[in-house]
Parts: sequence; C-alpha cells; structure tokens
Amino acid sequence: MNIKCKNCGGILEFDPELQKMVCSHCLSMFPVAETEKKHTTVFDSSHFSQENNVADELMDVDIYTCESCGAELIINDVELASYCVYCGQPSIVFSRTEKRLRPQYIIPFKISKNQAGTAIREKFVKSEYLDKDDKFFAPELLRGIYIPYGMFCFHANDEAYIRGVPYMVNKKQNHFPQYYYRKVFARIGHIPVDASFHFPNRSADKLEPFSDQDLTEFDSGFLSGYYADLRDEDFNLLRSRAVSRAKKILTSRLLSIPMVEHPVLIKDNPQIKCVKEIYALLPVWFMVIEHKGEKYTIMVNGQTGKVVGTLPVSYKKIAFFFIMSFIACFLMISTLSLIAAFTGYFQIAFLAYALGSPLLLYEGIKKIRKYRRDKQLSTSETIKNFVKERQEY
Amino acid sequence: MDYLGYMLIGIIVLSLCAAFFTVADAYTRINDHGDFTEDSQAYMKDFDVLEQERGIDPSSIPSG
Repeated sequence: MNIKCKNCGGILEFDPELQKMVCSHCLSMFPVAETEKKHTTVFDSSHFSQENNVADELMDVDIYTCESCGAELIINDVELASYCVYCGQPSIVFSRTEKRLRPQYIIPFKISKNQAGTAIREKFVKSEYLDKDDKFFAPELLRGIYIPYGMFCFHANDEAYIRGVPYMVNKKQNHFPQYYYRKVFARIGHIPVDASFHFPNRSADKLEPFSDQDLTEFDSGFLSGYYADLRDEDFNLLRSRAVSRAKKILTSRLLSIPMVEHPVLIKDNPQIKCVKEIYALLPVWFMVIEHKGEKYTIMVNGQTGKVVGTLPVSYKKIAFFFIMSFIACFLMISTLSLIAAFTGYFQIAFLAYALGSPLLLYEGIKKIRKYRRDKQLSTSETIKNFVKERQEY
Repeated sequence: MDYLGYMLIGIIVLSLCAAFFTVADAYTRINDHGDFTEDSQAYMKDFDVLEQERGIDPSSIPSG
C-alpha cells in the first residue's frame, strides 16, 4: 500500500520533525489520521477477534505488489513496511495470506534521519581512537525500522526485610548495621520487551528507556517511509521476561532507603500482577558501517536519540595514545617517587607500586572485556543480517 | 641491585599499568550506553511505602 497525496498523487512519507505526512513531490502536509489509505480493510476491525486479548487480535496480510511500478517482491515473513527495491518508493507491505497480529500502538519517530546522523557524528568525533578519515560516514546509510515490542504494566506488592548501615554525618561514630522492614505498593508501567526473534535482546535493552508518553494508537500512516516488522515471539515468553525485569526494578527501588548505606535484601515476598499488556511498534534508526573489512551496527533510539553501538578503533591511534600516556605517567610517578625517596618515605612508594599496579591492571582488563562484549554485540551476524538487506537497497 | 633499581622497575611497571588503564577507560567511556538498572527506574510510575520499621530484631524475621 502507498499513501498518496490528495493534491498531486505523489507518495506521502511520515516526517518525524513535523509529525505529519509530507508529499515528497509537492511538499503538501497532512495530519496522519487524515490521509487516505488504500487497503484499509486490512486493518478493519471486522477482521479482528471481538475479544480484547492481544493474542487474539489478527489481521489479514496480502501478497505484496508495488503500486508504483508493479514489481512483485519477495520480502521476509515478518516485514510490515518496506521500500520497493526496483523503484525505491516506500510501501506498507502486506505479505502472503497468513494472519498476523495487528500492532495496537506505535511510538512514531521523533528523531529525524538528520538528527540521528548528527547524534552518531557527535559520538564519532569524540572518539580519540578513530582515524580522521573514518570519522566521516554517509548519513544516507541510516534506515528507520519500527521494531515490534510487547509492553507490560504491573501492580506489585512486596514485604521486605533489609539490612543496611545508617548514614552518619559524623564519620568517627561507629557504624552498626540495622534491620529494616518495608511494605510497599508499586505501579510499574510499560516495560518494553523486544518481540522480534531476529533482533538481539541485549541490543534492544541497551536502546532503552522508551517513554510511554508518546504511545499513539496504531495508524499505518506512521509506517510510510520506514521499514517495520511484525512480532514473531510468543507473548507468554515476553510476559515472563517483563515480570523478571519488574522484579529487578522493584528490588532496586526497595533497597534505596533514604540515609541508609550498603543495603542488602534479606527476605521479601513480591507479588507482581500484570494489569495491562499491549503490542506496539517502537522506532529505531540503524546504520551498518564497514571498517577494515569488519561491519559495525550503530543504532539510535528513534524517540530519545540515544546512540548505541561500539565504534571501530584504529590500532595505530591506540598505540600512539598508549605511548603518550606511558610517558606522562612515567614522568609523574618518577617525580613522586623521587620526592618520597628524598623525604625518607620510599616504603610508601614501594607500597604504591605493589598495590597500584595489579589494581590498575585488573580494572583495565575489566574495561577491555566490557568493550569486547559490546563489540560482539555491534558486530554480531544476527544484527548485521537484520539491517543489511535493508541498507543494501 | 639497590633499592633505586627496584624503584625504577616499580615506576616502569606502574606507569605501564596506568597507561593501559587510561587507554581502556577512555575507550569504554565513549562506548558507555548507560546503566540499565538506573534507566529502568523510568518505568516506576508509583512507589508507595505503606509501612516502614527501623531497627527490628533480626530474630523476628520469619524464616523460609
């Protein structure tokens, strides 16, 4: 389905900055709800089950033929919106005749392609370890994809026993742990859980938080100009993941008692009840960049502009930075050591070498491991394949 | 080797470790994606403490 301009018949695309449908041909603008959509019967409520349960809401999907050029396209079985690879026109795609769940809500893109490009560029510029030439990338490589999510709301009751040390203004006073009892009620709202099998969960987690303030009832107009996938993960599985996250959020808040340090949860009895679950599409910008034969996927939260992704590094720059740091540290530590030696405190200097070296080495290795884990995420085949086909068009 | 020799070795080793840490830290700072647990608190809409007691006897904590 294409959404066409009432004035000239050109293709309308959703503009995140204006939050309106804009004609790429005559630049006319229309509110999303007022655009005429062919094939709207696809989303007609008569096609859905009368029950409210999200698992029963279904929609019919058609074989996709591009309305601009007539080409018939093979697309993946969860794609909902795409571009025609022959004529490049954006299309909302209904593939095959199988029944698919209809999204109930959507957070439309708030960050435009240019803003996403600027956010990534700022991150690149800050990186000391990239060569000058590598700091430039083509923003046209950015692709906006709506990712399917389950969003869950919970009511939680908990009774907890916590051990903690009361905070003392006078540090000389003895600190003895005390035991606390807390009975709480919490409302935890719209925890998003990625519902796409092909999109790695860890990547989805890093893109958060998404704010439910921008949740809007689903309208296919928002999809025009973007890619979109339908959910292909079971809602029961998503719910159980959301419950475990709700527990973590609750525990973390339970332990934050004013004026209490080092709190430890001794015992609790959380009762978490799911009160609402919705199926929504959330916006993400993706870009795959190639650096010395390796591909890195950079993502931008399409609502908040948060950039997620590990940048490639130039080993020449790392070596240079390491040598410079070594020289600076050597000069500083030598000076301090000489002062210690001349003032008769050389034992302190030896103590600093013995304790400082393994500590710095240990912390450095921890950071390098974290980098390697994040890099694996950015260079993983799964996420690369998720974006690659769309970027190559 | 006198203590100045040991001191020189100590300075070199500590400088190498410090340089390694500086390089690793600079890189992870650029690639930091925020604290997931802290960010998740954005989903906490209401949190009411219904009862709170301080200084309770640990033996009164129910077992199991």
